[in-house]
Amino acid sequence: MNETLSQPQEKERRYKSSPQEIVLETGGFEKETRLLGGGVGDARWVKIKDDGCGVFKPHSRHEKERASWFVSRERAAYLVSRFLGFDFVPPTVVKKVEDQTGSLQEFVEDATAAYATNARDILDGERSKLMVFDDLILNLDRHGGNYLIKNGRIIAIDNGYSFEQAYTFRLKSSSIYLDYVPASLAEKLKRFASSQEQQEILRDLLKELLDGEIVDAFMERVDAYIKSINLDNTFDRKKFELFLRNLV
Amino acid sequence: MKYIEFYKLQNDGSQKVIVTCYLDEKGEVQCDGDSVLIENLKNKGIRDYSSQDKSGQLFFKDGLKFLEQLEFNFTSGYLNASGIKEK
Repeated sequence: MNETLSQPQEKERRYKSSPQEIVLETGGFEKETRLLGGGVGDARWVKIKDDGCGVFKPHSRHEKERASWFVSRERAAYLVSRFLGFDFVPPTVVKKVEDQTGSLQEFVEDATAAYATNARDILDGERSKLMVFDDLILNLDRHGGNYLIKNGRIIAIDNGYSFEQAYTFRLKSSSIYLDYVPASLAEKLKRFASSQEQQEILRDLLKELLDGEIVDAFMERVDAYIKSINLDNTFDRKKFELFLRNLV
Repeated sequence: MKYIEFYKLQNDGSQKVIVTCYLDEKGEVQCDGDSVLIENLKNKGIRDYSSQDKSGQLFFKDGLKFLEQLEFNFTSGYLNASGIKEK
């Protein structure tokens, strides 16, 4: 089927759905276990036919519109993580299963909730990455119950309370995490900033999920953030906050 | 007695109870089980989602309110808290 696609179309298709996303989107469930606890309603661990496992969350304790809000934000946060190079939100898609629409996220084996982990087991630089990510997506709900640790690395799950608003005046994170941007992250962010094509694809994908004003403000915030990284990867917090004020 | 359970998701999709928290005779929270999780709950507290700005913190001394809010703090699937149970 791909033979009929032109080169640019094929490139766009590859950007839009990674192989893991395609598995999540198209695979049927071989086994499902309804999870106890959690307060969000109807969350399930699922085994995908012939390929891995996932956590399906329809957020069914919330009324329909709010549930759909959470589901779309879970997917949006994954896209941001993937396109900007954070690479720590497991592949996440929006999936309809019978009469329920939910987020389906790849299950990470042997990962432990941060609250059940010693702080010293988290590698240097990982918290900074998470703080930067949350500031960019305006995630208002990060605590040790909604990120995981595996081999010292952070896995950012439960991103439903992000993109609540278009703009913010100031950073939520503590400055100690933002004085310096980890080199590998800075490099990936700058790569993203230099690719008009990737920016356009991400903008389009986010607009399928979120209000246009929120997406435009987010893209401006990312641009401002990257412009506030100095050559030595120190972060100019004042410059960024000034950008934020001017964006409003 | 009012209590809640923490469930840890295993690789095969089953869940295992790793901590139980309950109210003692003074109305404060006590927990048994995984010591790392208990220490973090005790020292860092949890978020109060019933407060208007969701920024309030709750600790063991807050008793029932702490127990009530656990299921809204631990929703990831990987580590879930139950609602309040009675035995």
